[in-house]
Formats: sequence, C-alpha cells, structure tokens
Amino acid sequence: MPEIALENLSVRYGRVEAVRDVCLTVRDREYCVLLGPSGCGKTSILRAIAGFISPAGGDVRIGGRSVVRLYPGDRDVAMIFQNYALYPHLTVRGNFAFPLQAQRLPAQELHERVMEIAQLLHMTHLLDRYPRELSGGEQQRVALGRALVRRCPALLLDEPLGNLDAKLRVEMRASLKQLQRQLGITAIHVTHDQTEALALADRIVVMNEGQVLQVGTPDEIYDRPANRFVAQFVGTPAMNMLRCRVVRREGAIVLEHEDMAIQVPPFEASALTQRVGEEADVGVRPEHVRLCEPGEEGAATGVVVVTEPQGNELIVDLQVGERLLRARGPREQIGPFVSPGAKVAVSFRPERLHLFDASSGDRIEARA
Amino acid sequence: MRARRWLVPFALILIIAIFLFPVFWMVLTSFKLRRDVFAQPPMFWFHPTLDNYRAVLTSEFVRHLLNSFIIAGSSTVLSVALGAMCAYGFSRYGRFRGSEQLLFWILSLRMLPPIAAAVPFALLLRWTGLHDTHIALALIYCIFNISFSVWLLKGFFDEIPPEMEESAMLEGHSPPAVFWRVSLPLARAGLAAAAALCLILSLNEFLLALLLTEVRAVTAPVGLTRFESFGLEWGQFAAAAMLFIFPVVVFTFLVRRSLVRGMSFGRMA
Repeated sequence: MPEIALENLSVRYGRVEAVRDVCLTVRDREYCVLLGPSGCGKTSILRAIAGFISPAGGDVRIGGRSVVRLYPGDRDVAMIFQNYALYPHLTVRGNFAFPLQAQRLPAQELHERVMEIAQLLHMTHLLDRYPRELSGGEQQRVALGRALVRRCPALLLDEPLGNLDAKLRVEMRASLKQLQRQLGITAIHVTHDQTEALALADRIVVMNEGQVLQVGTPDEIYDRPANRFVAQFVGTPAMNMLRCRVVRREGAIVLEHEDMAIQVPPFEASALTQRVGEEADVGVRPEHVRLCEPGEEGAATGVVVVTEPQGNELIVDLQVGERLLRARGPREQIGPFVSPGAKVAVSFRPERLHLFDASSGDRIEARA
Repeated sequence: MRARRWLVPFALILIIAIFLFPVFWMVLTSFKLRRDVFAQPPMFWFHPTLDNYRAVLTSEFVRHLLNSFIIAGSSTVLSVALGAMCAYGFSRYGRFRGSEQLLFWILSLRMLPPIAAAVPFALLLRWTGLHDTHIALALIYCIFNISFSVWLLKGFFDEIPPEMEESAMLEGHSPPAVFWRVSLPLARAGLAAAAALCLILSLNEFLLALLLTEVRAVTAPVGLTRFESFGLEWGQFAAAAMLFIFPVVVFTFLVRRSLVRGMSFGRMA
C-alpha cells in the first residue's frame, strides 16, 4: 500500500530553488495537506511527485519504490488540477473513459467502470453532456471522477476547490474527505486556504519559501505553532504578535510592551528566565484576547476602532497605544459594551500565550 | 448617438457592396450571351443562358480545375500535417539554443518573393524530371504553406493549458497518444484555419504555376488566361472563374469562425 516519501527533495527552476531539501512521509491512507502562501513550493512538490518536473536532487518513493525516473503514467498516482483539465471535446462519459482507454480494457469492463464511477458521484444523468454544459461544481466532480476511475491508491489534489464559490467549497470539502475515507486513498492536497487545511487534513505540512516549517495534526498546528510564520499564517483573523522585553519584576517574569505588562504563568516563565533583558515575540490569538468593560482589571486599555459582526461572533479591531490588536469573542458577551469609539479593558489569557524568539522566530518551549 | 447607431451598419453595407460588386458582375456575366456582355449601357436584365458553362465544362478547363484541387489539396494536407508536428515540437520542446532563430528562419521562407526562386525551381525540376508534374507544384507550395502553418499552429498549441496534456500523461497515455488525442483535438480551430488559408493561397498561386507547368499540371488560374486565345470570351471566362471560386467560397464559409481566430494567431476567443 502506498506510502509517499520525499527524501531530501529539491526542485529548481533555472536559478530559483523552489523546493529546498524537503523530507516528508505521507502515510498510507492519510489525508495530508500542504499549506503555504503562493510561491512557497507546494505545487512544485506535487508536480515532482506526478513526474511533470524532475527534481534537482533527492528522491520520491511511492510504496517504497523510487519513481523519479518513471514516466508519469507509470507512477500509479492520479491528480486533480485547479482548472480541472477536462477535455472540452469529450463528453462526461468520454472524460471518464479516457484514463481507462490507456489501459486498453475490454469495452464491457470499460463501460462498467465508467458507470460505477458515475454512480459513485451521482452523475449518471450527465454522462452525455459536454464539460461546458456543466456547472462549476459538476465540472469539479467530473475531474474527481476522472482521477478516481483508475483506482489509483494515491491522489494528488492541486487547489481542487479554488474555483468554487464559498458554499460549494464547504460541501465539496466534506464529500472529498468522505470519498477518501471510503476508498482508502492516500491523498496529498495543496492549498493556500488554511480553513480548508484545518477542515480536511489528518496532517498539515506548513511550507514557506521552499521549506517545510511544521508538520502536525490540525490541532498541533493551531495550538502549538512551531514558529512565528506558522502562527500568523494559520488562523483567521491572524494571531496578534507583540514584540516585548523580558523583565524580572518583584521576582516574577513579566513581558513589557510599551504601556502593557503581560503576566506570564510560572510554567512558561521557566523558559524565559535565561532571556531576561532580551526581546521576545508574544503571540495571542484573537479569541484569547479578553475584553472587559473599562475600569476592570486588564493589561491595558484600548479603544475600539472597527467591529466586524460574524453572526454569533464579533471581530474587534482595537487601538492599544500605538498598536492595533484584533480580538474576537461571543457577541452576546462583548457586544453590549463594544462599539466603535468605546474604551475597553484588554487582557490576555495567560495560559494561551505563544512565545517566539525575536530573531529566529522559533517557538520558545517551556522546559519541564 | 442615434445617428452613429445607423451610420456604422450603413457604412459596412456600403463597403461590402463595393467589394462584392465585381463578384456580382462576374456572376451576371457568366450567364450572358456574347452580345450582351459588352452592351452599352451595361445590362442588369437580360436573357440568361447556360451556354458559357456548357462550353467551359466541355473544354480543357475541367482538367485544369481538377489539377488545381489535386495540387492545392495535397499540398494543404501535407502542410497542415507536417506543420502541426513541427509547431507542436516548437511549442512544447522549443526552448533550446537557437530555437528562435530557427523559427524565424522558417517564417523567412515565406518572405521570399516567389519570382526570386522561380528560376532555381525551374532548373531543379528539370534536373529531377519533375517539370510539369502535380507533385512538383504541391511540394513547392508546401515550402510556403508549411512555414505559414507552423507559425499559425504554434499559437494554438501555446494556448493549450499544460494541465490538459499532463493529466493525460499521468493517466497513462504515451506522448504520441497525448498529441493525437488531446493536443490535436484542442487545436482543431487552428487546424481548420491553417487548412483554409493554405488551400486558398495554393489555389490562387499563379506565377510559379505559370512558369513550372506546361500541359499536364496546368492549374485553373493559369488555365483561365487561355480563354483569351478564343478571342475575348468574357462569358466563358466568368463561368470558369465561377466554377473555380465556388468550392473555395463554400469551404471558407464552413470554417469562417476558425478562420477569424486563425488570422489573429489563436489570440481571439
């Protein structure tokens, strides 16, 4: 069964190094999402696995077998492209049959396989339509069907939901994952949309500038980002990042930022004792910024600049000193006293602070 | 604003009328008796006759017409087939040293005025014993047509999204199968445009046909000039010309959409 392994994979375009020395093992039947901003090399990795580009160095192994010298068609992987790559001159039936025709199956079996995939995707009534006669969601399903019809154990998806509208994207997301489970496929999915990644992935690989920054389950990525980049890339709205000075005050470690002083719980403080006098970045997710009515105790006082209602939640932009902070909270709770221009007391949930080294950006771990 | 809305269609109709009038006059002439052809003032109403067509269809011109279509047709098939392969090569694998120069050299073959090559061609054909043969003219037209179809088709192949072919490769189709089953069908409009333009250009070619044929391979444009030898048989001349342009008009009409795209090298949707 296919485990897809990248061993020190590098990809170059001329002098540009798109992928640098990437090592990654995608386990059998795992749904793995490569997440990163555009140009971070995630698509290059997919194209190297498919065989459209040959790596400058390293190896790609599928099910233990090195495939870098194989023709794409001999690698036993299927792929869905962002623009679907449907053949406009063939009907849905023709598009489904196309991959099977390369295998020279007998007509009867070919027909059965096409019907099987059409039934799986509920498309039997559309078999004689041409792609241009289908809606975006239907086209996407044709692309999915063409990828699944060969029964490849490995599936590559390059921004497969990028061209769909928001509602359809959420629906397709669910059915993608369900199909992947049902068919027992190993999937590698590329996206720049972190909500998509968090929703779909068994494991997320966060990339930037051709390198892997963190590999982990969605919870690990969200709760314990390995560095500043991951912290700010994952999560909406993005994590607040404050450059602070580590000081010792009355025996306790305190992080000072302009006119704020952030208390650090004793456990995290242990990691900072050697850094007294240095600078560190403190990350706080908007949902961990606590807003209270003025007068109550808080780290600082802020002025509400804009509020953005999100149904049951409220996203609040705050001016704190020179800084703009984002907070997010249940509307019922903070709505009554939060309105543009209002003053609020701001504090942070101390057990939810993320600490990063100011120069390297790496997470500062508390040592037990 | 309102005036302009009427002005544009009116101007277009006027221009079309001016351009089509000679053709219209030729149609009328082809049905006229000899005495009506030169009547003063020119006659729009006359007693029509099929004598001209009868005369032309029993003359040598039928063979010239046939020659024209054999030569232009085979040259077109060959030019589009070879041109498509060459264009595909340049489009997909054309990033080698000197590829641009090579591509320009192919185009430059078309820039050569045919008269400059006429004498070398004549000598070449005499040495190879191909003078006054169909195959000679067809091959010579290929020189001009291939360079044209390579450039035209390269534009079409360049516009095919690479994912279309990559997907087929991944699905197990070999590179020739990808070319045949994905790239060619997707460039269909280009193939039609290239074929139409090659066909029209080869059918219209006069100079080389005049110099390189004598009896067996005489083409229609050259054959037309021979109507002069019966005295000024303008009626027959017009009827012959009608027979010559009719198939071209029909073919052009069928591929008119592709033709417009082809003229803009595939850049127009």
